[in-house]
Amino acid sequence: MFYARWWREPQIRRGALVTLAIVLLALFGPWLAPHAPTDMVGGVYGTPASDAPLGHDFLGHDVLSRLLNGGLSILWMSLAAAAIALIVGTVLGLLAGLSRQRLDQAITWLADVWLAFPDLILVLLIVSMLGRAPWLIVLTVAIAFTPGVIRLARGSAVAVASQEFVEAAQMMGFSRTRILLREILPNVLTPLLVHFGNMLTWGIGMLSGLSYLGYGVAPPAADWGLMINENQAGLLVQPWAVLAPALLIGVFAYGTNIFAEGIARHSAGERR
Amino acid sequence: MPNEFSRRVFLGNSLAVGGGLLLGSSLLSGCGGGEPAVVGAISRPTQPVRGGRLRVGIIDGDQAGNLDAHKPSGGGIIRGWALYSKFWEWNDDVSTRLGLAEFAEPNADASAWTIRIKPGLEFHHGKSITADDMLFSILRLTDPKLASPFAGLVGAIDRQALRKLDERTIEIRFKQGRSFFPLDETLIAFGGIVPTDYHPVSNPVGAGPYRLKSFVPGQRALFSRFENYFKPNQPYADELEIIEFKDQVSRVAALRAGQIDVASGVQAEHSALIKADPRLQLVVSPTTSFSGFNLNTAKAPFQDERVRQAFRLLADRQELIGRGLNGFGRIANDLYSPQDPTYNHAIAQRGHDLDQARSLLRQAGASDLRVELTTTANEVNAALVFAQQAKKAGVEVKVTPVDSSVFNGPQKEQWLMSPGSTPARGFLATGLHNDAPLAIYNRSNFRDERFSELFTQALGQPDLERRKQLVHEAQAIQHQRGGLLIWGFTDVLDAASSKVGGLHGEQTTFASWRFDSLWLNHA
Repeated sequence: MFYARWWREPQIRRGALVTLAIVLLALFGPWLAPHAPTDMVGGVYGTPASDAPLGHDFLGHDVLSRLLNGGLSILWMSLAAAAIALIVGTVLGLLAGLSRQRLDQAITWLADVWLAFPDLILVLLIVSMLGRAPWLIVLTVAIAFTPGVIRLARGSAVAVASQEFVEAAQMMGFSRTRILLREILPNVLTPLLVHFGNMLTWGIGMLSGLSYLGYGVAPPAADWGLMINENQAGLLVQPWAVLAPALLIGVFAYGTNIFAEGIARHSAGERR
Repeated sequence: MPNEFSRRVFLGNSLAVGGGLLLGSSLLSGCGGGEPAVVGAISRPTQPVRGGRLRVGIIDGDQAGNLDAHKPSGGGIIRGWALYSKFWEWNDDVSTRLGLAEFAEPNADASAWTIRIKPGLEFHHGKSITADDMLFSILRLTDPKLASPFAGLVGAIDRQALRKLDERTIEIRFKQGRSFFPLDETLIAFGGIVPTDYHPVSNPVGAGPYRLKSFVPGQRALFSRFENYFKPNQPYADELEIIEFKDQVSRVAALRAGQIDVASGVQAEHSALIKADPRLQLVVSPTTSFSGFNLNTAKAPFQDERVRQAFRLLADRQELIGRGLNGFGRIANDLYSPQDPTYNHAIAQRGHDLDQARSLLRQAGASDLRVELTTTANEVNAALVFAQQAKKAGVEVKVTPVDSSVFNGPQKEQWLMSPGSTPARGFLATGLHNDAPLAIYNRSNFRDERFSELFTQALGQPDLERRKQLVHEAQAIQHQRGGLLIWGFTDVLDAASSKVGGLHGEQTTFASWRFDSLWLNHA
């Protein structure tokens, strides 16, 4: 199995472990938190003490509790955005790569135009016009990521589609769906997976950036990006309220990035 | 290494000795100072020092900032304090005193005001101030073509009925022959007197303490001393520079590094930092600017007086000040303008009473209430604290931050619950911002027949004792069934180098904008 081969690569292992650690923290954090994320238990910008190892924030919430509660939103939102972009982009890209006709031209042209629009601006535009519902943000981030996936999937599919085994399958009269799913998809999966990892990294950055700008998760909910925004006034007084979430966002992005990079290197090395 | 170490020790010791000397001299000379609001003061001469360049840091950086006397944008309001003078000036207790005017009084029913300016006044470019300039200034402020957002404050002025009585005197009358007593408090803010050849870009001339030298919007404005300022010997500095900063942290850094002398309006979060620095002074102004919430009386559930009372009871005001204002404020009693001589001090302070709040909600059939509190990003803290407090009484308050353009947009009077605040003003002027008949925006939609009647009568009552009776009853109504939940009065914090003099805490919000009385010990 090629997962076992991946595991032998130290970079992949490191990335997977870091990502897993953050995912576990985000998933199980809410159960571990000593206080509710909205409970005002301490002084405003209270410094770390024995009962609050990371101190208190701008309204006196326990920073640790908010930190443990604040990962879930960014986790599911970045995963969902990257997954939607991956699925939609792959389907469109493979269709384009296989048809190589007008459909190809149309999809490629669309993806190019789409790609020319700066993605963060697109997201800000949509969010400021239509509101800040989480599913909407996920959808817009996915939309911003999709053209990249289309181009990648199409490029990989074109390279695969001209190979003999695909031509053989076509001659045998298999349906287009079967050829796409059984013959082409498995062969383009690795670059797409690498891209998925990269999108996850960008998604984490973009979503925490949106929260920071005040367009993401609405207060009083805890969210790492939002925490940075809320507590920046106290940066000089109680830096942990800003540094801790920033650190976690950084580590999460680092983990997914290293993981994706590792797979890319591994498969490149294998091909050689 | 050992050398460097000893050098550091030496420097440290000499600093300590220097500090001790400074502290000692302040003990000797500073006994008369006695301003309780100034924290961390070192020795400062009590007599104003002339000359030097006073550098004031403000939070702005707006490329569209301007110098318009009547339609300021960005830091234009602060720059206006240097450029323009008005008929009146603010006292420290938010009452008014005469400025350019030597006489300004209403007639018996406040339906007409007569204003006469002092003789021999001049603008920056040497032209004498006449009645034509006075009329021009008022007409420009209220000009629908200029569309100043601040014209609404003096919307009662009848443009057609403005009259010149002689070369220094004008008469102001009001629309439909209405009475309007608080003219001073409303015209003072944006009623800068400018010459008839005024232009906000090509000829930004006024009669303020400083004249303009150069202005780069979004960056800085440089002013020089106006020799013929109407107060003799003032202002003190030769030059004034207003430097714009985009964020508080970099401005505090600039202040600590000595790149600016005054930081106007600092964040409470930075107060400890400033207090700890012996080269800086933190000036706390206990203002009567209120912070509260508008409860929209036109919508359910706030149509019910009992729900409004319950909301006012479930607010823990002390905690709102502690968390929402970082402790820099004082609790309020759902009434504004406590500094006003007509304020009704007999009304008992409303406490924090969850049981009574719950029972009122039950009586109103509004248990398990869900309410949306719409706020701007700047005012979200107090809203979140209140939401947490309301939860204890079983009321769920959902805080929705919106963009300030949305908040102040066409929906502005429709929000079910929204934060409300007004800078320190007298009772009548504050009412015209909030819940009076003809208020600029009445976010609480409070329209009580008896209250409107009393307020309208008070507008036409220059006599203090008689007005006091009217206001006392009006305030009793507000306290009983009004739409404002006023939980606190905010402090304004200013920071300055200890070399700056003339800066002291006051009840207004603009202690650090009084450029004609600030001075710099530059020697």
